[in-house]
Amino acid sequence: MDPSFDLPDSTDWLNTPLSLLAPLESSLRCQVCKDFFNNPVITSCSHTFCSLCIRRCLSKEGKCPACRTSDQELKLRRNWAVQEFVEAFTNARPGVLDLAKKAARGDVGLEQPASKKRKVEHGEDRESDSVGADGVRTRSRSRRLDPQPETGIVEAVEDSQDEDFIPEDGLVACPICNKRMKNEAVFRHLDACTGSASPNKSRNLGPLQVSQTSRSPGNNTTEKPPGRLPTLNYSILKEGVLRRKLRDLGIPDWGAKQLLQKRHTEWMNLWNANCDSKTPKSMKDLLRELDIWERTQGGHAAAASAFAPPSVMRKEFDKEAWSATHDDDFKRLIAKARKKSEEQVRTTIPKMEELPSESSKAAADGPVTNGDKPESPRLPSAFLGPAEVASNSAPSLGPSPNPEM
Amino acid sequence: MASPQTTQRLLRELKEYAASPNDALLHLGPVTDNDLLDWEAVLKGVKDSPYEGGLWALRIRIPETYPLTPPSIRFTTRICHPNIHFETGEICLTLLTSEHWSPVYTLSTTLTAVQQLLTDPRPDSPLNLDVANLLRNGDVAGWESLVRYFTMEERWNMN
Repeated sequence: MDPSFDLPDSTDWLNTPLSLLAPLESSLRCQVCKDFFNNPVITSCSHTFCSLCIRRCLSKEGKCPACRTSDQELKLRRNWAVQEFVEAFTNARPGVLDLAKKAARGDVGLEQPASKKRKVEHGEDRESDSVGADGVRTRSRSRRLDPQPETGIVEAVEDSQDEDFIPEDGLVACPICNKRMKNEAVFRHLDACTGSASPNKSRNLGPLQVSQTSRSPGNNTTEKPPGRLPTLNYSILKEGVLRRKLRDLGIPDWGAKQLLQKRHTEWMNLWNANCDSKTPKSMKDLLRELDIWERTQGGHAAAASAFAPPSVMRKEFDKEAWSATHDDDFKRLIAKARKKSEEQVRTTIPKMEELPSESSKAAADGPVTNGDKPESPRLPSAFLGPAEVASNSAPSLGPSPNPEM
Repeated sequence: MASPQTTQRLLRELKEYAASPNDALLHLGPVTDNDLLDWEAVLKGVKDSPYEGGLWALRIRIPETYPLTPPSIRFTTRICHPNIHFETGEICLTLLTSEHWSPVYTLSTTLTAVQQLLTDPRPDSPLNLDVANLLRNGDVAGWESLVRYFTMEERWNMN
């Protein structure tokens, strides 16, 4: 099956009753990579992109991709609101989409047992809310969900609020497996819950609740960000200085200046984008990403053959793969070289014919090699049969150089 | 080999096109399953223009650095247009140049721009001098009938 169909995107909502969520989702996606905003930042022209995407654009173009206004990466600012929005949405997405798809197929659990009827109605509420007026949805959702983040702190409040929504039995459902239990037991149960039981409505509740709880950490992160890398003016840097800088940064320092420059830019973008992250990656992960870049767009990329020689010199150079990928190139080069030298042979022939008493090709080669061109001695032996050379060269070699000299 | 970002973006574009097709196009997708950087498209002529009813195949070569750099697009069906080379199919369109390209454009929207170029010819930067001269000399009727002729004569078909 085409892998593209495993790729979640905003069109997943089309053909469901929640098709209006498609534009919502696409507005939460970066216009450059089409993925959900990853560490969103806002430009001076108020457009939002993934930190890494906009950094790559700016280091290449210096312009905002959306409106083409000039901007600098220094002016980028994090966009926490969008980040939280994306987190909340992506958490809720699988459950909501699942429900929407079920609804599209017409098998939303309306025919459920009576004991669960109340909950089913909640589910429907939510669904129609989402399609309908925003205010209603937000209120109903937050009302039901508000208790959740607070549960750990003030249990009493939760109890009283929960009574509004929970069925008469006084029990609550595990957000994962939908098993009903006493309120106090839920958190202990959650630690051990395998989530295997009835995947009904509760699955939709699960993600929604998670999204709420995961909200708070976002607001609290005020730790000092790791130091950012400054942009370099490559034109005033000598190659050696740049190479040393790369070495100091702990990234590969091989290749010509142009490649060093490209690699430094990519590293700076990766690094500075990582500084915008709420949960920064380790240096090791960044180095791995740089390595992927190296293989696809940097010095190891097939297209950038200008940088090939240094990579061949490296210890971990993969001879097999290299000869496999460049087999065609080699063959083409060999064919080209053959053709060229054949042409050379041909161009030498007329000259020879001007010479007196020379008519045979093979005989002609002898004198040229000795008299005219220093590089041609290799040609005759390569392109003429050895027998021919042997038979004809003996007589011709002797006399003909002399008239020419 | 394309970078993961490029691959993902192209797959998303493919899926998006499948889910919400572009009215300007009859087809858009990779030529083979093996190379995601080599696409083809079939463009439709704009209604109520001399290009109406026309179909043209295009070949799209996507650079490894896409979407930071523009795709290179050319017509493989011959088309009679002042800004498109009749034999090579090269297109003179500013947004296809690296200084005017923006990563925000997708292949689908770019092809919409190509379609717009059909109804909005710029005879002052021509790739097909003969056609451009007709327009520059104000021979709109001549231009239209020439376009109509080639649109039908060269019309792309399945084979």
